[in-house]
Amino acid sequence: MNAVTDTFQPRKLSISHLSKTYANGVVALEDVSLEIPSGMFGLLGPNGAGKSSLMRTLATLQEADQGTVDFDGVDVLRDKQAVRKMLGYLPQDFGVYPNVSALDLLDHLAILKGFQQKKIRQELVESLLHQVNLYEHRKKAVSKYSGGMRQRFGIAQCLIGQPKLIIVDEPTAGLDPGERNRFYDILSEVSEQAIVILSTHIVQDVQELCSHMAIMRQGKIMYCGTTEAALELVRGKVFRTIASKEDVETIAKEQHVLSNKFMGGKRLLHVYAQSNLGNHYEPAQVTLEDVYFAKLQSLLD
Amino acid sequence: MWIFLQSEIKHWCRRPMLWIFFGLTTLLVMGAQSLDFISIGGVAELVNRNAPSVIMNLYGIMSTLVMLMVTAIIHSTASRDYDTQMSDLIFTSPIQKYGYFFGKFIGVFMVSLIPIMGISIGMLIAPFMPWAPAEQYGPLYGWVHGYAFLTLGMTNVFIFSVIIYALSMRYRSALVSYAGAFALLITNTIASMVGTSKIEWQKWGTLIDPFGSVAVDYASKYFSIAQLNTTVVSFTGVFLENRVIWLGVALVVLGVLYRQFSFSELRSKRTKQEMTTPETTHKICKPLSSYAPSNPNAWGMFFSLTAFYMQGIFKNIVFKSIALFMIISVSMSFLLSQEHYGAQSVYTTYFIVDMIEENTLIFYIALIIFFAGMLVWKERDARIHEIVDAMPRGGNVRLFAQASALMGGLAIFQLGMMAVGVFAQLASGYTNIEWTTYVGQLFGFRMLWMLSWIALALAIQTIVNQRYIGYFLTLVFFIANGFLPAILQTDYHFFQYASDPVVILSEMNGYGPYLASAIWHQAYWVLWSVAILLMTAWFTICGERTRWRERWREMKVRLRGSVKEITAVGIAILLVGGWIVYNTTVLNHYDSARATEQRQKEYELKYRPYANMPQPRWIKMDFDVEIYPESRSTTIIVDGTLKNKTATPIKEVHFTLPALLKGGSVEIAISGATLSMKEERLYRIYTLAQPLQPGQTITVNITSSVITQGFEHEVSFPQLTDNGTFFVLQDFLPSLGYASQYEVSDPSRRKSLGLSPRQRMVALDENDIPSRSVTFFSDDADWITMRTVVGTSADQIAVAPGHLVTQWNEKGRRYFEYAVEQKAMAFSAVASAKFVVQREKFKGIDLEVYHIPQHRMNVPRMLQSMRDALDYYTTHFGPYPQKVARIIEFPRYAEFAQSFVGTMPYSEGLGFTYNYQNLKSDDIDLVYYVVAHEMAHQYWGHQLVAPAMQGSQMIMESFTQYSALMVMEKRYGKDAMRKFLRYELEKYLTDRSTVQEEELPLWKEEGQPYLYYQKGSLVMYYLKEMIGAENVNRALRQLLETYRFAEPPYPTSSHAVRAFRQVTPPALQSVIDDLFTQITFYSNAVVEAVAKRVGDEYEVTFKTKSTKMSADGTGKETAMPITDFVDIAIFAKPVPNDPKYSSLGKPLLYERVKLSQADNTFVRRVRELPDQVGIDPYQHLITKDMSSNVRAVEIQP
Repeated sequence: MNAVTDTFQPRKLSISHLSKTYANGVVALEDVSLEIPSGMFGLLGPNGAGKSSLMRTLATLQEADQGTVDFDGVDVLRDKQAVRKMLGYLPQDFGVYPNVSALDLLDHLAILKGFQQKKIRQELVESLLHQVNLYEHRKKAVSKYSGGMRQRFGIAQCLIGQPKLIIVDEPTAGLDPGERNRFYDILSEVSEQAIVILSTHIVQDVQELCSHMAIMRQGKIMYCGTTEAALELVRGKVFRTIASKEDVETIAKEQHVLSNKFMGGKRLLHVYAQSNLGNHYEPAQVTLEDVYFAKLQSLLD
Repeated sequence: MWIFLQSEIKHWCRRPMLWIFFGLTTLLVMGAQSLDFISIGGVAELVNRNAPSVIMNLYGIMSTLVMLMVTAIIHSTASRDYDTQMSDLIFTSPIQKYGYFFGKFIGVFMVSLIPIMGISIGMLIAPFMPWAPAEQYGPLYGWVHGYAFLTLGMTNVFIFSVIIYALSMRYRSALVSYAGAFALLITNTIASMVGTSKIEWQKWGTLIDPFGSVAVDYASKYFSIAQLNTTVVSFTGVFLENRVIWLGVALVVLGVLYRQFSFSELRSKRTKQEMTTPETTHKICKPLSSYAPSNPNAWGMFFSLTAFYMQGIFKNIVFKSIALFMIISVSMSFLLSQEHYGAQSVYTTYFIVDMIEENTLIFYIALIIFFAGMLVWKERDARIHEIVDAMPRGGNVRLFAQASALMGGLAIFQLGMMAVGVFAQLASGYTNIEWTTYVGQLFGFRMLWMLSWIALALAIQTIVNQRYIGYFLTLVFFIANGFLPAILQTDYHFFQYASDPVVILSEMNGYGPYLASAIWHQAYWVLWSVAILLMTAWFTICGERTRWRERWREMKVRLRGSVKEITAVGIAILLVGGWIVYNTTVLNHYDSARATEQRQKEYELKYRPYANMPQPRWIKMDFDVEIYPESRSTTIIVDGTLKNKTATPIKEVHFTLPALLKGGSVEIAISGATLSMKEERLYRIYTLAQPLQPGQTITVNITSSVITQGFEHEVSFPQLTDNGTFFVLQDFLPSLGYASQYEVSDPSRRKSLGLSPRQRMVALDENDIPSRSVTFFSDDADWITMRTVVGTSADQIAVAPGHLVTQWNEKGRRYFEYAVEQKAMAFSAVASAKFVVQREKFKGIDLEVYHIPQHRMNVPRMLQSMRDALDYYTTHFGPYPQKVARIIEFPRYAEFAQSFVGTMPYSEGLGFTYNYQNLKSDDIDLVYYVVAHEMAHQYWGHQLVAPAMQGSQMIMESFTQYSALMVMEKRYGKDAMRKFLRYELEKYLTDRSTVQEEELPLWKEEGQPYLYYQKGSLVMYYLKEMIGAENVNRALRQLLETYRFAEPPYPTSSHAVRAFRQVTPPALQSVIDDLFTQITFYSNAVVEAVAKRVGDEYEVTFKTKSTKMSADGTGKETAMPITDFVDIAIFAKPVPNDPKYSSLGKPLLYERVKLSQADNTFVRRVRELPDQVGIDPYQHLITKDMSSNVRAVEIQP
């Protein structure tokens, strides 16, 4: 480790009472309060839960109606310029200028981030392209990249300028498993020196990567804490059973079904219950998914 | 098919865009039809606002706007199924190709007709607007609306629809569709350039015009006012040909498109090429954390961003295609440009720069509007805005980089234009390339002017934050800005965005007097551009903050950040603005056009009563003129003598002060007289100690000084300048008594000022002795004696009328003394510049041409013409009374030549720079003609003068035209006259349809150039054809001998007509009436011509049809009995290489016959094989139909 990383200190992002209502009346954020420590932080929630609104607010792209956000003493909602200097942001959905190569585009973005000296900038851009494994394709237009390559390009631009706060919004949608793993490798590497907020609706991502997490639904935080503690919430209360198609309906009427998926051609149901329901049920290995669905169904309040 | 058609129509009827287009067209036309400050196309005063010709005209002109609307509609329809990604669903369903293709097309075509209905609707409702001027509307011509809608409106919409539909379907790119629309627009522009170029090229312009309006203009150019008010161009001839050609083009395009159109092909285009990621090993490199951003420096970022945005502009297809269009359009403008009579200018730098500026304006505005939108939306279009917006950036840097990138892009265009210009210059052999003019105009003034519009376009795009509304608003602002002076009733540049003073470039004088004001105004608007950009930066969108509440909050934060900059710019604007106001209104006098009118009105109301008060006249004027070219100042001292030529004693001498004299002063000294009334800059009355008895004289001294200080709002008197001073002395001298030329002359302006209609020119009446006793020049003097001393800088030569008596140097200045041999009119001028002089002696007369060293190319031609003219005039009219005849070049601030006694100032933009390199044998030698014309004024004007009465210009100008024609005929031959007369006929016929007042017969003209020049030429030449040159010259010589230098009363046009009658044989007396006292049109056609061989001769039989019409003032015609002598001729085959016989062959027979009926049959024998026969084949008679005078002979076995 060199001198720069030695000075790295744990940082903290505190969000308190953040609210946002859109012009059309949709409540995107409702009294959201979160403490986000260094490392990877997972933000789980179904589509439309307000994750992107929260991400964009943190990325200085939109205003909140109420609340404060503090990042190591910087008022994120007011002192946007200071935040942008420390920020790496990968939006959920982004495009690129047509017919501009990865090299040129990263170079352009590095200029916007304040890298004035051409030599340093060139080195940085090349190094980033190596890091995300796009060096081979650096002269090709980003607009012609595949989904995975484009996401990796996205993370490359996100890492320009040693950001201390990295926000990635739904980054793995559309990636194949290999691409996803490579993507996570990079993320976990940078998370050693920054806060990385990963917003996703894929539970597995969070379980695999994040030590801390939050669950959002309809603009509200349903859970916030460590991933471990989350699992504790449901430990011993989830049971599994194999059922036929007809049975599923009956079970759904009587029990709190957390998940319903196929396994080897049969239906595997996870059911939440205070105690074992006997007969066809057996205790299940709890996953974050169980916590997630239990939270979404408000079973844990 | 019907389903697609219906759904298309339903879709559009619900879209506001369609109805906005419709409303816009209606409002625009309604406004133009009822308001004075909006005008679409110009029409003559006497033409009703809703006349049939105006309907056609509006349909033609509105085609441009309609085309843009049609493009928007068609493109939207053609690409909708792709844009909404519906195409996969639709194209895989079992529908038929023709149903989809034609259903949609017919549907959208019908929809596209809605906006053009606004033209007729706007016209129909305009008269009912409360502000509409009721007297300017005529009867309603319902059928013309239908006719125009079908032939122009609907046909054009169909042509546009097909072409845009084809492009949209094929390329599915808005850019390509709009580029297509632009290409059509350029075709129309080029077509109208061709359509107004040389007469023999004009017809091509009518055919290549997709809009059809050039054809309509061409076919109606000879319409009289009466025709304009009652009829339209019929659906025949060029108009029909044009419509057939373009409908054909459209149908072919439609057919080809339909054949090529295929669902599957278009679908397959959408497949995307995938790329695989090779598994490369992770290269070990320095950790990212070792790269830290340097301290962001706004300038570095600005330059990098500018470069980045410029790349985006260069890569854009619109950029490339417009560059191509511009090069074509500008090159065409060089090739097609023409001065009078089809002559072309050499490619001087000012000519090239003017052409570039004129022909690129519309492109630049389009480019600015388009690229401003593109740049503002660049990040969002690429959907990269969330990434970019989350990055730190130096406040305004992005916006300023956009502006500078646009400037850079346009500078590249200008560079290209300059390259085209320099290439054209070199290719034509012109090597006097003025780089400073190129740089100063194209990269200086024009680029800064464009900066103003760039800033504004970026501001509108940013603030409105709706791209298409932004485009639209910018365009509306640009157009509305043009009307601002009319609406605000001021032409002060501060009240019109980006408005700056006129600059006229000259090779003689460079920027001359125009530079200072232009630079300061430009600086003022540049500062505004910066201010606008600074303020716009407050409103740029960042992230999702698109709501006004959020933007407002952002704005307040940003405003606080740029207080220093905006304050600095604000102060600079105030300082520069203040400096301009100080210069234009304190140091100089500024009157708006309205204020000037008001002064004129006051003058008229107050002093008109003095109009008929008897005043003395000058009999001697000795001038002492000091010219200070470098400070643009002058002092004129007059030592004059006034004589009472009336029968009553005169107690008071009145003076009207010169209107031009704004900053200077006038002192008048009359011994023993007292100044009894004085109104500053307007009027003075001196009461004499003793009344001036009839026949008595008195000495008057006048000192008038003009001192130029600072700069003016607009340069009011460029004639007084660094290098190339030329001004009329009387412009700075007071005139005697009331001066009716100061009155407001425009009839409609007089009406709105509440002034009674102006007295028309005194009616022709040879018994009206008082009116006959005032010369056409002024009532201040008759013939006077004149001497002039003129002083100037040591490096210049100064010239005044008369021969050089002596010259000397004094106190570092040069002085010249000139004296007029005989008597002169009180109309004198001085000139001064760094001249070189070409001299020679001919028949004892000094011939001199004063010009700048660069402009020697046409000087030999001028001297040739002076010799030939002197030769002809001294032989036929009488002696040349001066010792000298000289031509003096002056800058092109005015483009004319003028004649003073022995001295003829001649604009550099006229003969000095005409191009004679490619002069073909039948081309008109314009320099030669103009010199011969001005030389003739030494007789008609400076020996014989006409009174201020109807018909005076017939004597002054028509005789002069005749004289010049005879000199030309002698040198170039009779055939060369045909082309000249063809131009005269063209201008006479087209101008008579655009005049403000009714047409008069030639002998009663009231100063209308199309009568005294053009009709004058035609009439005099025809008279010569009928009675012979020797008779015409005899009559002219007799007039001259009677009235040479004669004191009043002066001879009128009726004296002249009488003189012509005396030399005309009895059988031809009616010709005199037809030509001079009536408005007559002829039409002669060969309707059938056959020939058969008889022995070794050919017997030619041909039938002709002739009509003769008499027209009234509005052009209403009545048939007249035919009793005229007309030429008939039989021609051999034309010889292509022989200039004399290239259009008509050698005449095998040429005969003058007397016609007494309309239909005639002639049988004649010729020895050679006949090819064509003609009646009035050289078109000496004034005719509107020039196509059927000549007909090919059918040879029978």
